[in-house]
Amino acid sequence: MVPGADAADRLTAPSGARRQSGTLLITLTAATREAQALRFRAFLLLLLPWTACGAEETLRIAVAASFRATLEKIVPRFESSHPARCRISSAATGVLYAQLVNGADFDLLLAADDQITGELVRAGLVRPEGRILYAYGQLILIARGASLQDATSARVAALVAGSSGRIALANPATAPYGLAAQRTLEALDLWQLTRGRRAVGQNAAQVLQYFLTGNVDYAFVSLGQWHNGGAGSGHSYWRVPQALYPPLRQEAVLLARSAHRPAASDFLHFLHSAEVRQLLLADGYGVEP
Amino acid sequence: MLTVQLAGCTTLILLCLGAPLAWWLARTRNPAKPLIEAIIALPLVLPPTVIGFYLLLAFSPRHALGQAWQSLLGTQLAFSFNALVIGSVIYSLPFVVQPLQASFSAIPRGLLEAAATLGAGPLDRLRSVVWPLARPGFVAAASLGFAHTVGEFGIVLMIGGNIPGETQVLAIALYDQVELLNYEAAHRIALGLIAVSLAALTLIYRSQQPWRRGPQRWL
Repeated sequence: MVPGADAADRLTAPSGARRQSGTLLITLTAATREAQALRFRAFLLLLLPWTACGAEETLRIAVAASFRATLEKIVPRFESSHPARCRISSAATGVLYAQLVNGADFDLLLAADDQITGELVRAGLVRPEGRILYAYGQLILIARGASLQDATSARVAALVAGSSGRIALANPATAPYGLAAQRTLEALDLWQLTRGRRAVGQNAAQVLQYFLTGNVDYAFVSLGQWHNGGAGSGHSYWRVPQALYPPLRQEAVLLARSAHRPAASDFLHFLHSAEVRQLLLADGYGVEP
Repeated sequence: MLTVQLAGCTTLILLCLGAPLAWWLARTRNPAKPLIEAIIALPLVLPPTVIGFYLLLAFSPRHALGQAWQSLLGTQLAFSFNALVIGSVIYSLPFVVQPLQASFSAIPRGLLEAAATLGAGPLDRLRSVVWPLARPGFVAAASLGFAHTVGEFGIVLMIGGNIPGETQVLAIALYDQVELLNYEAAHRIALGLIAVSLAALTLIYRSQQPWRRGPQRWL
């Protein structure tokens, strides 16, 4: 487009050519030919990405928002040893489930729990063998200041009860980390007390964003999010004891209707590789021994 | 109910702010007028996420607006009903200012001057010249502002925090039900919104029918 415009400029621009009609004619035809050639080359360029698309496989991966940052570190490692490319979409696990039930053409889903993946198997969208556990999630509560560092459950409960600041959690109806947060608040007898002080995010990523923009004082997110941008200076976190919420068994599934089953299956296997396990541990996730 | 409350508050504030602004825009020859008109029209063009993003930052107690609010009123601005009102006022501003400006511009200057020479004071001119002529403009501005606020979604999704009774407006509640695959509840909310909106708009258009108007209307 730009080279074409350049040629068009030359049609009108040279004032010297306008004085002699012969020169003008030569400039005009030359410019037209040049523009035509350029247009053809531009057309070929437009075709290029299309042909490239046909040459390589693209895996569409749906991922729980809490795990997105970690997945973004896993994908380049996978792509460096595999011809397939990956495209990531993230939302709350329950939202992705609704999209899948309504026909979204994801090849893989990396959920933040094992409830939704179980539903997908029951619904026949996933074959039982296309379902693996890839990580154990860890729920944390983050706050400004060092107040939560090395705190006990009782201390945290007293702090939250005594504060008037808002607490953010993901929507318990769709996000597993939101449900874990609700269970934790209930276990600490804070659920009724914090009514009206709770800001509910669409997913764990929005919850972290509420906290990082300074709009809430407390936020329930995953430890993985803390290791990927949540660990601001002057923030502290409390690792919620496992006894306070049902375990976040994070499962990945391969959709039965996927058109890229071999590559998607390779990706599932890659999630169990030593390389990824190391990365998961570094991000605060638990893995199967 | 929260939705109606939000739209009502927003419309009221917008009419109070918008009327003088629109009057000034309709009369002024200030060289800055196109710039100000452009700023007012910005919410028409910008995705709600742009406004939502900056409001989220502005409402935080760490920034000037959120801080001033907290020190003046003692409550947090973020995720409150007031925050939604501020967001909606910005978002619906063009829908109120533009119809008002159009109706004010349609009032012939000569008419006001004639009224003045006949001894009508500013208030009298407002009551007996401006108001009857601009009334359809006010109706249009109020109904558009109200309707647009009811239809607001993106900004609330970003700055609302989905708090029942405080920031969970119908559009958000509907969105939640759809995500949960609760289509029955979603239908109830959606059909309710359609019915109420249709009834309200029909009433407004009925009040604007030409045979119900006075002899001279410019809108």
